[in-house]
Amino acid sequence: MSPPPKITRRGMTIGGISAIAAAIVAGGIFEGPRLFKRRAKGQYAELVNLLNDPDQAAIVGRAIHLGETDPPVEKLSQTDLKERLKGKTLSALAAEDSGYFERMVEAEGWVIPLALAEVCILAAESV
Amino acid sequence: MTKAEFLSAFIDARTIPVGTTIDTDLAIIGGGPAGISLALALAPYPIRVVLLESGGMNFDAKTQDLYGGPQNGYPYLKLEASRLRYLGGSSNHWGGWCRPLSEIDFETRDWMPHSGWPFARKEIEPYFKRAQSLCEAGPYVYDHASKSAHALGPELKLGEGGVYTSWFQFSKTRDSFLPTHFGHRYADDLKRIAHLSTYTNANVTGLRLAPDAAKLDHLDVATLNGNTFTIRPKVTVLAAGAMESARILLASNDVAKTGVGNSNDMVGRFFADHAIPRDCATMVLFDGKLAPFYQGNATMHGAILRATLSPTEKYQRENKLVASLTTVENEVKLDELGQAAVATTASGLGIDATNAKAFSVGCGLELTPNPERRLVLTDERDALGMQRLKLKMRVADSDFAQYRHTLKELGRQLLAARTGMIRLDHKTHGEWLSVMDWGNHHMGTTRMSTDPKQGVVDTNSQVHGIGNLFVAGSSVFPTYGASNPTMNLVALTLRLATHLRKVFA
Repeated sequence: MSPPPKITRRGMTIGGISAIAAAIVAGGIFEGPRLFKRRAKGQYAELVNLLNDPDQAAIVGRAIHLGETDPPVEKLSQTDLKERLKGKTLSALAAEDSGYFERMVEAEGWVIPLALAEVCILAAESV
Repeated sequence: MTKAEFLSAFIDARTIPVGTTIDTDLAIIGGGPAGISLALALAPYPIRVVLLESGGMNFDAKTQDLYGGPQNGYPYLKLEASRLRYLGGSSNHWGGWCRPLSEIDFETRDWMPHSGWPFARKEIEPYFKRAQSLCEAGPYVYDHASKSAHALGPELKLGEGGVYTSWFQFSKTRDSFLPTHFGHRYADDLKRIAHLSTYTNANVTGLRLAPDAAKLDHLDVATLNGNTFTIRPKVTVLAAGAMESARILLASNDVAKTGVGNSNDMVGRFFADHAIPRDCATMVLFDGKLAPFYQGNATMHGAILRATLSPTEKYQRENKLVASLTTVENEVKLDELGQAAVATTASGLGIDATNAKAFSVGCGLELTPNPERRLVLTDERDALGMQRLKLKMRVADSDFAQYRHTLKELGRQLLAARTGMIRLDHKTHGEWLSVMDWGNHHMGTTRMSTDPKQGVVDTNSQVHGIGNLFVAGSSVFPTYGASNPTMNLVALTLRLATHLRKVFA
């Protein structure tokens, strides 16, 4: 049986530096997009930033043609949305909307819950 | 030692001397699934049967050309391409999909003009299992497959609503996965029937009525080598497919000037098929997991099954929808909007969609019965001198809209269950048109009704007003459902066989 390897001070230093470097790289990969992601600004920011990626939401928002969906979605009021969100998370409201056919909105064919559609439309106006 | 079997050969009609008259109890016109099933069903009974098949055992271009004809209106498959004219008929190119019609398919639906059969599903239910056996579709499982499918993978989790996982079964030829081609599969069985004479290359060119037009007197038969002879049956069953059965009735206009059974101008009207628009939607599953029985066939309980997504009968009634089936097809890549929609929706619902996968979606769609979607005779004649058909095809926008509603409901249920989401790929008439394909499921042209003004045959499939002429096949379907017709038309034919036994008794 061979003796266990000796742990030297030099080895410990190199190992420690490597671990810290790895943590920084991993953090950058996983958290970077979130840290450096563009946040929505302006009057709708509070609502739009409920979604992880306002830029993606804006793409969806631009695909919702107001008045042309079935049922038609008209210009939305952020006040109404805020009212509906009272005491609920966006996720909970979207899940609730998914229980109703008439609360489904199309974004060039993509069927999404009304609450998300509303946020996406606001994102399209603010991003 | 096995007992020696006597197999009578098929008779090539080209060898029958010109001017011959053949007397028989029953003549069956057409050797497709209906004609063959009828001959097999009557085999145990002392009824002399003549089975007349236009083709031989295999495809022949000159015989196939007899099917040709023009069309107008909505683009449709060429009339000579959507059916096959040799023993086994169009079962020679069917996909093997089987599923009995649902109860709602027989009902009069107030939102669907001209809908409803003159009887309920229970009337043909006793014949489904025998039909299933003739189609070689294995044990009768269908929606019971849901109970055991989890062994192969989970069914799609859907929120409460109008769409559910429904099951089709597949015809197979013995140990292979090919659908049963009725001609090749049952040729020897037909040859074993001592009182059956099967004539190949025998084209019926006319149904000749007695002078009072109340009874069929004889059939004119012609071959492509110029031979002609006569069959004089006590009873005739027309089983030539929904296009050709209508053509033969319309073209037999020597005594009844509008054709046989057509005094109310109903023959050839209400032509139908299943619309099969390709890639009609895109389905995304957030976890990317899809059980194999959605995308392809899976064997369970000795049956070959495939899961589809169908509206429940309750949902159809409540929302006034046509019947449909939706299939999950191939994995596809999403465009920028698709990626954004999935990322945003998953994020909004608090779901991890890093493994999401997208799939194209296919469908089979029932058409609303339409008297203007019809077959008429043209002045153009085929090699036997028979007038060719012309198809006037129509599809109502409301049929697409109703199916789109079903797809949207499916999308909602996917969201409600946090399973996935859907994109409806088509909305306008032109968009649906651009991806349109058809099932080759010809139906409706000699529809069944108790009222001679509303249909061509009565509830026994007897042509109204002509005591000894019947029609077998999906041409008698007054409403169509979304199930493939083969197994259903075989069941209906077996019911006709029961009736004919009484007629001959």
